[in-house]
Amino acid sequence: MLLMRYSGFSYTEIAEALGVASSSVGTLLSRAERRFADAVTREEVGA
Amino acid sequence: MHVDEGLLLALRDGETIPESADAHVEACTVCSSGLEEARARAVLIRDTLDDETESVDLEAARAAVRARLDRSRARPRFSVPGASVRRAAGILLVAAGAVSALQSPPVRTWLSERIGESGPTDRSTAAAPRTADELQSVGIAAQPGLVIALSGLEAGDQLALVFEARDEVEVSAAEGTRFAIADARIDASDIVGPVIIRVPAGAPALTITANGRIMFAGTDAEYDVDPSGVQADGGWVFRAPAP
Repeated sequence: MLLMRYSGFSYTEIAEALGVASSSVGTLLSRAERRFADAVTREEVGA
Repeated sequence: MHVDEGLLLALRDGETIPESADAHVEACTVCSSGLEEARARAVLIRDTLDDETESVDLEAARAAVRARLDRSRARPRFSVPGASVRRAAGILLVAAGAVSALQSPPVRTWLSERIGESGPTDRSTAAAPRTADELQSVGIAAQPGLVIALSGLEAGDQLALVFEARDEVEVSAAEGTRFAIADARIDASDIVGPVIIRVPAGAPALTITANGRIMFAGTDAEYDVDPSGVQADGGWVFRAPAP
């Protein structure tokens, strides 16, 4: 989902490709982003 | 009430959101701060992805996804996505704590063998079990745990799965069934045929409600069930109550 979003796909296209409601994309993306950012931060701190 | 994170991201990404939400964010320091945080996170993610994906042919990947979208649009509304998108959805949505699309023929076989002996047939319009090819699924791949089958649901009935934490179940139903996925819950409507829910071992507790009646509450190891349930090896079969 993150790759799709950051490759320029719209929420509607992401919803279609992944089979979820377009109204859920923002929430799902938000969760994914937070986890991704946390993982990156942890990696940077541990490096 | 503040604007939720999903709308904040939609606003950040230039998607259409209600004007009232847009106006609220402008006037609210909490939401404005959340928006700024989301923007900063986007910069971090974009920079990280740029660093990590230099060796990936993004143009080819985009073309592949575009082609799949085109094929998807040409198919019936509720067909199961193709294997590669399904895998991608699984990986990405597991990270997001959400859903993907998966098939589970053993569960369907299990249901087909048992649904006819699952209890009273007070719903004259109860649909017959479908074949594996007719079923669609949403949910994360489930390890063996508990299988819950609900029969007797039909168009107009409501099925809700509410989770204590992340969504960690697989929900299967015949093509035509509509799923609405939101934070910590899945709602099914326009239900066609039986619904099969796989609860993986160790998953957080969930509550399954059919037409307002709680049919199941708990985890695969500790749960309460509606008295109408019939226990079978590996799970339970319920006949949904009338609305």
